[in-house]
Amino acid sequence: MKTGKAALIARIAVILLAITLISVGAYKGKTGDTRNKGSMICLECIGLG
Amino acid sequence: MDKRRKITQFLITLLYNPHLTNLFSGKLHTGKTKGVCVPGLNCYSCPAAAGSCPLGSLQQTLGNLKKGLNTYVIGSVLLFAAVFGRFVCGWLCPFGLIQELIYKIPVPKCMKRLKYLGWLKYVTLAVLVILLPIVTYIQKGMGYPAFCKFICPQGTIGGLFLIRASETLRAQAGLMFTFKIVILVGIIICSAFIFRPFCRFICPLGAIYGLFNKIALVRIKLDKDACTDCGTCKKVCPMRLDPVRESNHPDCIRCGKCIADCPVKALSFAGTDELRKTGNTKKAASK
Ligand code: SF4
Ligand code: SF4
Ligand code: SF4
Repeated sequence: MKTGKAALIARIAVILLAITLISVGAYKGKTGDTRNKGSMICLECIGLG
Repeated sequence: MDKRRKITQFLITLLYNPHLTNLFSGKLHTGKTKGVCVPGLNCYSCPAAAGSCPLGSLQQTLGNLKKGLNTYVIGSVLLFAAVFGRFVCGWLCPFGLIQELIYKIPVPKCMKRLKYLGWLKYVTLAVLVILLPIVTYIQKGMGYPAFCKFICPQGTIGGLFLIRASETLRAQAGLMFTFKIVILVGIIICSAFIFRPFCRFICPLGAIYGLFNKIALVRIKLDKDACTDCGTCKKVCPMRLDPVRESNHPDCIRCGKCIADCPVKALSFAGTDELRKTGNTKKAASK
């Protein structure tokens, strides 16, 4: 029971942290950065870089 | 359970990679969805991909810190980890599916756990995903995604389509490309003999998710009173774990095989057994 509660608290803490990080990132336009990177061929990924 | 999982894996692969015609034209999808990280390992340099790879995006931000850390990517990975843990590996990752399909080839199988090799994925995570991008950034002002560059077989698969379609890219393929092809072929061959060798021993994304297996929302629950310790679950676990003693081990991919095969139904996905019990009580009350 105790470990179950600790896991629940840890999970909620990580989810809250994750949502905060996502929100801050989205606010700072980082989704755009992610999109830009993902829209260009990454030469390293395909073995040419 | 296994059939449901396979269907989910196929649908997820298609959902991550809906732009199939791009595989022939060699064009990358550049729409808004590329701003979203998918939970599994799926290369953004694959022409069919709709979203971005969390591991590639993580290395990109660590290798370009002058732009500020991309907290959006880090938050996305943490969210997937806290909600799903390695359920992502069992159900939501195309490269997991590829290895499982290859494992169906009828050749002798290695049933050993090879426990110590499992540590390798944490080394890959620390050195290739975190350290090298940061160190090369400090040295050169622009770091490179070392895991993508030296290992990632998923990137090589995407690259094969791009290189087939473009003469310019074909002309650039040299020693590094050959090296990555050797890694890919090695993983494919090993996958016929060993269940998911890449996931068990190499994948840094699986390593991250595994660290959260104990606290993730999707977990395996053991009813100690019901369990007769018959050992069936241990026999059927493809990751060679003992679900009775290590149901939330970092290597458990939540495939659900132990749950389906337990003769006394002592194992369940956390949360679902409570729902079932409530349903049974309600049914009994209504009789
Ligand atoms: S090469 Fe691998 S890790 Fe890198 S972006 Fe592609 S799939 Fe992700
Ligand atoms: S370990 Fe990596 S490649 Fe394997 S299923 Fe998980 S995320 Fe995908
Ligand atoms: S412990 Fe159960 S759910 Fe986890 S990998 Fe083994 S069989 Fe699959």
